[in-house]
Amino acid sequence: MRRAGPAGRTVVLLALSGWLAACAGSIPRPAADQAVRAAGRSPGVTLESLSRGRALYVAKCSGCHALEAPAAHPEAFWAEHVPAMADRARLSGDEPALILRYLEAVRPQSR
Amino acid sequence: MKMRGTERNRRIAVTSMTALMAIVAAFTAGGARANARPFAYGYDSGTLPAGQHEFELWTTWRVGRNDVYSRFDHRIEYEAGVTDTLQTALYLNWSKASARDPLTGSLVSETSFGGISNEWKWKLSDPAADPVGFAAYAELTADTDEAEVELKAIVDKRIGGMILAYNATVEPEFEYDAGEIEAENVNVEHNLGLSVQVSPGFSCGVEVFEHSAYTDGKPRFAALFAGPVLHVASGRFWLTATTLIQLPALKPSVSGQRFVLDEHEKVKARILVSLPL
Ligand code: HEC
Repeated sequence: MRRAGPAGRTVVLLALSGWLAACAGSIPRPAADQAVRAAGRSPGVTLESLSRGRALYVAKCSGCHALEAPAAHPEAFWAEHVPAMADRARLSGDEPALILRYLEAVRPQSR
Repeated sequence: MKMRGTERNRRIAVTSMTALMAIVAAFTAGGARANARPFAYGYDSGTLPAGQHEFELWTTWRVGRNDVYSRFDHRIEYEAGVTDTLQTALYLNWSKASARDPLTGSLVSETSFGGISNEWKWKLSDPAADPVGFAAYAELTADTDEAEVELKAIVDKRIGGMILAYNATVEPEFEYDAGEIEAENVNVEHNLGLSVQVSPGFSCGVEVFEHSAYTDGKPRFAALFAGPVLHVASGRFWLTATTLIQLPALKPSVSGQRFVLDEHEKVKARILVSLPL
């Protein structure tokens, strides 16, 4: 472990940062066009409300198990599991809905 | 007769590891998932959401020093989310150590109360949503004649079902001596862990642990450990187990020796379980 030379360490660091940067986007930030599309389905959704949904998802859902990418599951899965986890995540008011709208909006749209 | 003892320790370690694998296999069938603690020695940056709480039971078995030595450390932990990014915990610590009395040669066991600890963990970024996860951690332990502060920087990254975590820990030891507080020893630790989720209820990986001890600024020893880590979860229950084996020391405590066996053991095994109350 201690024996890697400076060159070896640089290569490892570069590879690691490239890999981390490439993978930082598994919990994507909502984009304006996604907000427009989401508002078409659920009136009242804005870019701000989607951003709040993401912030809530990260803050409330990461404490007990890994956050999963919104794209990892179909909409029906999230529609079932977000309300089921609301109690455990101590969600209140419109928070479950905000998280759900975010998870739905940033999933790749099926053609 | 030291060889005999060593051989027996190794057999006990292997047997307990096998038993653990069987328990793991039994739980894997369950299928649900909750990755509370991916590592038993190292920490990830996760904190419970505000208002959520959990009990954890820690059992650490440390065995094999220069002479016969076996020790169990137990902790009961209650942790709670203060805000979504600030978590606190309280611990009750006790231990039972068995060692050979150097004078009589007989085995003596001693149970001792290890004081109480208070932990604070502040999460600053998330390992999945941000480029890297980061948390600052402080743990205070107060015993009758000793106080310890443990300061930790936690860095981690989650990609899919994989987690990589690194911790750097500084731990000055203070002693109350005739009304004065003295910092005698400083411990520096590094933890590195990599774990991969194999199925929804089961992940496994490796943990590496290094401990350097300094007295009056001079390094006393640097011990190195590595071993497998397993995590199983079913519903709200989870269990994380690590067996660390001591590797040749980066700096032995006694020159000429390969391992640090006066202040560390050949094997350290730790099991953490959640108590879903
Ligand atoms: C207090 C701990 C805790 C928090 C906080 C939490 N979960 Fe969970 N989650 C669990 C546990 C435990 C399970 C295991 C299954 C069960 O008991 O229902 C689970 C299971 C799940 C599953 C099912 C996985 C599968 O493949 O079947 C999903 C999805 C999930 N959680 C999403 C969320 C979301 C979204 C949030 C935030 C709103 C959240 N969780 C917050 C503890 C938690």
